[in-house]
Amino acid sequence: MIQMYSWSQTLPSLDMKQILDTAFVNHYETYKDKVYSYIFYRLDMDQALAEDLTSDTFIKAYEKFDTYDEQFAFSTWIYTIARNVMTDYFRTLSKQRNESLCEEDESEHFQSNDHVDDWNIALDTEASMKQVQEILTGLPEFQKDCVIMKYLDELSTKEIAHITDQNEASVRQALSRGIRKVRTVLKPLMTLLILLSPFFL
Amino acid sequence: MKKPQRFRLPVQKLSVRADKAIRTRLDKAIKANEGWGAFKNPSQASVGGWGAFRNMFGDWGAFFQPKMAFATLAMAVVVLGGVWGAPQYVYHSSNITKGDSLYSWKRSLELEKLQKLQGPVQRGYYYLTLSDRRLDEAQTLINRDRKKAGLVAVASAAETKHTQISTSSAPKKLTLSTQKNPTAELVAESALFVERSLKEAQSVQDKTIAKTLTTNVKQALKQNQKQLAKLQTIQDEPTVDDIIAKIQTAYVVQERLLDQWDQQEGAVFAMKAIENMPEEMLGDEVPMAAIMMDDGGFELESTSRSFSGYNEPFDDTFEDPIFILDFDFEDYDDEWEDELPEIEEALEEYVDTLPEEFLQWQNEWEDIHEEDLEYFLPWEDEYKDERDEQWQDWADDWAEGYVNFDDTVLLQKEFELTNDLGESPSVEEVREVFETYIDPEDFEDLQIHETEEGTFDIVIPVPEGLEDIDFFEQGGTLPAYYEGHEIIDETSQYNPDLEMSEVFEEGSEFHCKEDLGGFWDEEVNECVFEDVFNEEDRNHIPFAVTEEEHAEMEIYEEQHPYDPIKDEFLHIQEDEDLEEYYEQVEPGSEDFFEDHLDLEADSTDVLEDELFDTFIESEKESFLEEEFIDPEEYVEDAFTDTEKDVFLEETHLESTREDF
Repeated sequence: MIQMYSWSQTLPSLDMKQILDTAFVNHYETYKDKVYSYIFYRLDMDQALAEDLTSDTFIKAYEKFDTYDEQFAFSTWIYTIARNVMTDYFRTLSKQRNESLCEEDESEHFQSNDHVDDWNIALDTEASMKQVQEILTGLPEFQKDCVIMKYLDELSTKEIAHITDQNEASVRQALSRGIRKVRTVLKPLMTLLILLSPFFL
Repeated sequence: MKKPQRFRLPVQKLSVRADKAIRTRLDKAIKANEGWGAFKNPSQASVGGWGAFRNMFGDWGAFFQPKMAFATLAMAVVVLGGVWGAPQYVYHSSNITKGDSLYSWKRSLELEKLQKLQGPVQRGYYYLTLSDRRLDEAQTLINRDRKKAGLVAVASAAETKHTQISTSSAPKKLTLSTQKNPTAELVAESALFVERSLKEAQSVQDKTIAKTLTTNVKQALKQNQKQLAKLQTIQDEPTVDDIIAKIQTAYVVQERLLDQWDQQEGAVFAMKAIENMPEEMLGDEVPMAAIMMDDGGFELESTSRSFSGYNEPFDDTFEDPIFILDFDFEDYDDEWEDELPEIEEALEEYVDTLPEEFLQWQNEWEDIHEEDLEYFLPWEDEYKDERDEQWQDWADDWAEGYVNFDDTVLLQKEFELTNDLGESPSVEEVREVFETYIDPEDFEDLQIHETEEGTFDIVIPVPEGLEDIDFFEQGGTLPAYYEGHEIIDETSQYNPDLEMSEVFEEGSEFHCKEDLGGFWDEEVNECVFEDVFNEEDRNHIPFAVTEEEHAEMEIYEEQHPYDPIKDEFLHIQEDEDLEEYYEQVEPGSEDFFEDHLDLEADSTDVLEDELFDTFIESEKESFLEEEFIDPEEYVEDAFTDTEKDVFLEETHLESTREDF
């Protein structure tokens, strides 16, 4: 009797689960900081909460990894999941609040973050945390989303539209308005830099 | 080239503690996950004896041990097994092969499975599985023939034929005739599936997964070769022998190429680069670039559909038994020039699509900017600043890679040129090859700079004579955008077919629209301008103005100061000549205020007080809030001069006072 040969039985690397697990862990390494940053900024810099939701995001992503369409960038997919995780969180929070009739001061989140002041002010292209805080505070939710995605990971308008489930024109408009605020905040710093530049040269 | 400095949000580092916690959760999830259903490999299932029975019926199989058997229940299970288990058996059985009555069902099940798969990765792996299944089926066929002939099916190393595979003497194209031999068809089909898998690898965006898939294709090539060698030892058909030998040749070369090339690009490049290769460049060796039938390609879908859906006879799917193994011959020999056709193609594509993209960008720009600019008046500095900033942002988004704000560069693209040995060519070599490959007329002033070893900055400058034109300085993409002018009109859209000389000829339609900012009256063939002083048009922003008109507008604006309280422009006298009017009524005089501002005042101080009182009544609360003054503590008389100055500055009255 001939020994039937089947390569799929003998090649360990053909184990699809193993391949996808490895691929997912690689993606985790690449995107963990970016996803965390996105949630961090989106939650008004609440570090503890951002870490929890980052964890939830990656676990959910892993569970649904077989539905990931490789024709799209992984970043688009993971940001969409992160956004949904945050929406779920806010929904649950809102429910809990209604049930307990206990009002929570949202500003507590903000004030309890001592680490915010610890950031060094970067004088090059990166904004300082204070500036970021100033920029993001007061922006409507959608604009905030767009600005973070644009200036954190340089996502294209098309990708942002895909993630936020809006059309590209709306995203462009939101970005344009968000950028205006970015400029307003950054302008004094840029002026200072220009004035001080002779001393550095 | 220096890129415009861009604002970035700093990326936050996930803390080590949180990272650890996530990894722990992830590890648990990975361990708990037994595999995604869609990826379970069908060939791993056992298809013989009690194991197969258990596989078919799962854990319930244990229930049918003899001691526990109940006849009625067994009957029910047999019926259920017939409905559910039979397709499983048919699908997994390698004993069902071409020519069997159940084979068309088996192929339908394969098609069904294929259609459920999502994405190129799943399909790529499934094609490899199918390739393996075809070889198994071929082997079953051969075994049956041998049994019929009374031979014992033996495959041992001692009997293995050592096929000499000479890649150097391989012809450029091999036509394989399967002669309607089912074994030959199955073997050829197996090769087609490997090739399909390789093609699927091209469309995978994720490099990690693509790389793994390519690696597995390579391993499948090796294993298939071994199996083909075994098949060769146990069959005597010259047709099959011929096909196997040729496919093995293709496999060997393809495998070597995959080894040789960068894994990330390998499979893709192996397929792509050869498609447009000139014949004289082809060497002696050959990769398996594409395997196809001479009637335009093999379609699993149509083949299988015919089995199940349309009741067509099985053999109709192989109407023409001729397969062509289409080899493209190329010896790469570490020559970096081999990458040039790709680069040439990319460059030509950029240049070809550039005019269309200009047009697209311009349309997009017109759509978005009107709404954002409506809050500004065109003669205000803010209007211009806003417009410029928006344009730059928009150009960054839409025209990145094309637009350079520092130099007069039409197109700039960076290419990395190195060969497999890591050697890079000199600038002169690159230029020489570019001049050979690319029409010099297209890239007359091509500039090539070596930014670092192996990386070249290839710059196509703006055509001669157009360097000083504003729009090139502004990025070179918007002909309708000029410093100090704004032309938004359907007719001002960029027409790529128009010659540049035609565009800027004095008296031409484009000169009128683009340079002078007017509108072309087709009836009289003259350039006409809008009446910019029309009150109604003031709100229609933007509109076309010439430099002269712009200057007039500035004068107009000076003479019509904006009153923030009334939220309107102060009208002095529209119909009379302004100079004459100023002679009669000196600004700042009592008459001036009484006549035109309807105030009983004899000095600017009184005017300010009047306005200030009005302000206090209407805007006090918000003003105090903005200035962080507690309204309860506020005493009107105690309003300081500083605060008053702030108010006057905010309401632009300070400048108005100076004018008076």
